[in-house]
Amino acid sequence: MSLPGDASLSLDQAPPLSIPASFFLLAPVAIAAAGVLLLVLGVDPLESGGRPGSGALTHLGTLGLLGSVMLGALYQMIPVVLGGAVPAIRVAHAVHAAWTLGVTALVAGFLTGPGGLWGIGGSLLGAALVLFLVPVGLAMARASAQTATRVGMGFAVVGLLVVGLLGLSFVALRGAGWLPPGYHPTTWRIGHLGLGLAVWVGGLLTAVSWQVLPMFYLSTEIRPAARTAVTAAVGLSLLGVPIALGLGGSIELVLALLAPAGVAIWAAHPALMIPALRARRRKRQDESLTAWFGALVCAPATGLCAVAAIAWPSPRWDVAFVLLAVLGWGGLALHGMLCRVLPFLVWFHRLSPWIGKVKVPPMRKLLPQDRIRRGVLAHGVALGLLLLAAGTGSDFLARIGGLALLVTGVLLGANLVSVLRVRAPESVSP
Amino acid sequence: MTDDRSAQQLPERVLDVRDLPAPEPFEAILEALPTLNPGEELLARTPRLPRLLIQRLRERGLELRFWEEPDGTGAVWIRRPA
Repeated sequence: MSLPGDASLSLDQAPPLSIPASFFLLAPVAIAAAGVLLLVLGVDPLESGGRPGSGALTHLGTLGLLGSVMLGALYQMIPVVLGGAVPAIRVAHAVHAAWTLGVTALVAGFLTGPGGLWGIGGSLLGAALVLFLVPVGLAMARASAQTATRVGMGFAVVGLLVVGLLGLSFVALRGAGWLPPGYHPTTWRIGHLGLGLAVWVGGLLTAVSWQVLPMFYLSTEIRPAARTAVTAAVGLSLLGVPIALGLGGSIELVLALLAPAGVAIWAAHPALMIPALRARRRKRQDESLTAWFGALVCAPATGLCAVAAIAWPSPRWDVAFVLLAVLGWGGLALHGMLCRVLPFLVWFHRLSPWIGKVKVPPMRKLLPQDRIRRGVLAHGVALGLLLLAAGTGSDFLARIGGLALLVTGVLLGANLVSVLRVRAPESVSP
Repeated sequence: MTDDRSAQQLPERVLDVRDLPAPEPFEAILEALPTLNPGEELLARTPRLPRLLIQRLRERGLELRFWEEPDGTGAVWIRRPA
């Protein structure tokens, strides 16, 4: 009944603030960069998933925005949620450097065409993955907690490994000019994107939501059986898709094997979480929660878009699906999380030692609600404009959407930096 | 650090912060500490077991016991040494 072991409470198990913060700060940079790309390229990247600009935009979203925040969140959450330290935590700085340079090179490679930048990007991202997955995997294997959160986080991390290997195989095969038997580029790309969104992002978002939403918003608890079912569905896709790809399975088989995770995260999870959040015990206005609600509303829309893209194949459905999944569902959830978690971390590391000794501001004062609201509003406007641009083929709407995305990145970045500038009182020692 | 609650009498001072979102329970408990005299005890009822709070309380040299209730909420018994 007491905490599982005294060691789990050691302060030196929590990562220094600089580690999660440095990863979180990449998110607004990626959003702003995507906005600049759309301002320059117009609607072209939104017309088909096969355009160079669309590959660059997709990877700015999946790696630069979603991936960066999720890597930082895992470093932070593993000690707190699972009660085990990530060994050699300082290696995270090397991961950050390799990840940042790798994403930049890969995005540049998409824009300039296959060549050296692809290889450099792939090599750096491969190094970042190894340096991330080995210590994080060790910490998760040692953790004593046996919860849906731990299992979900584990599935997400294994999903990241599979998605990373698939991505690196594309880079390597392009360089080698040789295709192994059973390799179907379109099927593998669907597996890469589907596992990335439904297992890596979806697995982690759902696992984290079981813990974070009741903690920060006092949402009602989700029944253990429902959590287990969602987690199991994600695990089923994680198991099935790589086997199908390895055995040369058809597109239809891979899509069928992605369906359990897709239904779990884009239908069951919002169906569970929206009522739980609406029934929260204290209904205080909170703009980070507005972003979460936006994400949960985008989830079923993402799932419906995926179904439409399968039923009526069209590049427009494909682009709408990626926009909704990356910028809507995943992006809004992480935008909300950043505006809540980073103030909490700054408050915990810099202000909480002083509480009761000198006057310190409460956490909710570190990032005013109206500033969060402006960022979330710009994010929603950008998503709406880009969906309209993808649907209508309007170059004007694509560029305006790009401008809204650039504004979103600037506002989110300014919010995060303003929180990080909060310092501990200096008059007395804590 | 034990769970020997049957042997403990509940302190006179009880702070129930189970209906506050994170980190407000943490803030309320730390803000109550300056009013705790040597030898005095406080029982804090929290929404869940507050791992990070316990770190901070330890740094302040307080005597602690903590446990998780069957409903998943937490309890932290705090005593300022005489």
